[in-house]
Amino acid sequence: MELRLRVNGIAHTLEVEPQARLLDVLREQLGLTGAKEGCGEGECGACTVLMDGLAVNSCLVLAHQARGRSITTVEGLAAAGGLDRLQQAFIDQGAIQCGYCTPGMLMSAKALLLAEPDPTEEQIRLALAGNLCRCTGYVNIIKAIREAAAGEVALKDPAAGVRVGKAAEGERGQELPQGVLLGNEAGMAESAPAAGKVLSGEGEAV
Amino acid sequence: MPAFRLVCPSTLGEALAILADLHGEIIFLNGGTDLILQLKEGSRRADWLVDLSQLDELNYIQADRESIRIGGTTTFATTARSPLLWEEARCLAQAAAQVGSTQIRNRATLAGNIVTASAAGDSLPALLVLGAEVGILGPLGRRRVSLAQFLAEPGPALQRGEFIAEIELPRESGRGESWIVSAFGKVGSRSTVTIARLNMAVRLEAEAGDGRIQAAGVALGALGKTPFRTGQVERKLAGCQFSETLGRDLAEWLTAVVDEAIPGRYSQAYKREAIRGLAYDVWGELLRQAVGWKSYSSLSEDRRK
Ligand code: FES
Ligand code: FES
Repeated sequence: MELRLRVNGIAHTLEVEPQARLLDVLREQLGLTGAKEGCGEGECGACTVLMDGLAVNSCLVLAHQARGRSITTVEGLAAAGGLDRLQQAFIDQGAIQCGYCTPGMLMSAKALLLAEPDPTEEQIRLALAGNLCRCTGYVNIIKAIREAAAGEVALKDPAAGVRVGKAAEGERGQELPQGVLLGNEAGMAESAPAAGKVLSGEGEAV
Repeated sequence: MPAFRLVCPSTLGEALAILADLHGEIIFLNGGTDLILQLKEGSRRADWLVDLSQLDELNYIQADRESIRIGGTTTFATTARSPLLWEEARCLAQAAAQVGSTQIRNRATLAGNIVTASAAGDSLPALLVLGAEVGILGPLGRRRVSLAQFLAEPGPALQRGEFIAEIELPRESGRGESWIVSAFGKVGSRSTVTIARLNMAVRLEAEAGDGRIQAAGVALGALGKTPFRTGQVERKLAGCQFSETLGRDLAEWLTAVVDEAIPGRYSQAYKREAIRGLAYDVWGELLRQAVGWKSYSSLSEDRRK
């Protein structure tokens, strides 16, 4: 069955089995192994990616349910030439030990900051409630997200950060950063041609 | 995953038209947070999967004078941030905000929660006390049943080719002289992302003048096969004056309900204690909401004098 979707800003047309999960297609067909399979049942969040700007468990989404959608994986986080502010903050705060949970943590954190650039600690904890970490005890992860948020807020220059409406308000037409990077398995990166156009969440009538 | 074929309609009309051509067993896929696992484990099988998750026509929360209508593909995330629901159906907004994790709420739907009818489904007690009706679409057209009836069905509540298109909540026109509060609570093994060990929703309609309860809805989940409303407790609440002490009576009455619902079950000892704590929590939330109602706050001031 043909599947068309955008991943990290690049449009793909793929031949995909009806049974394949989004996670399978990302890892096996596109070679994007950032998203991990931890539990395979929606508990651990290691497979978290963004679908139209919202965090989802890619182990619980059939690949074809992502038709026409824009997916962002951890490989798409690093804007041209450098790490995303969140990634840098994770390093600086020692928020990574074994690293297995990290791509999922980063994507949940990213979804939060897209919707709420200046979150409270409570909001951070809630946003991470679906991401398990066996190593760090979460404290440094939360610190890292606060630091990244503080940096983003301080730096109000829209060209430097990600210009995004509040996903939580169902605004449409968000934009991802220019020159989204797409890492491959060997850790090499190639530059994506254009900014990804992302449609955020569901519209709400009331 | 066992083989199935997949159809992905992009409009409601297309979905209904396709159904006529499908032979064999059909399962509708919505957010997929339960179904994809069941398919993977092999506990559910079908010849055809029909993916409804991209039917934007069913993604809405709308209101008119008589009712609030929630479309079948509306997610918990959308439900949990609807100002209208926080205002008029707070127990449902509260329940939606507590379902699973952010990732789950971004996919899972109210309609899916109803179809799965899990004993612990968080939205169900809330929908029950709100008197929800389920709007069903299928090859034979449209029909509507109360959620209570839908859940009580001994066999499958949906016929072949039927799916939930809408959930409708009757809207209180506000009989002028009464006020309404509602709240949801749950007990699980940890504070978030938890399958409820026990959950509960309460809705009260009280007289503006003296705070006398005119109608009460009390529904419990994770006590037996499906969530249910407990008429015996509702009848006891009706006619009482809304007060802090009444919460203690409620806890007492609910303990008896637990004893009746799961006699001799290993969890009985735990749940008959847990329900008291839950009752106090939910009652506390109702009291906080009631402070906003002038009549109640002036009432409690009177008592303090
Ligand atoms: S692998 Fe998807 S949530 Fe654990
Ligand atoms: S760093 Fe090891 S699981 Fe989080």
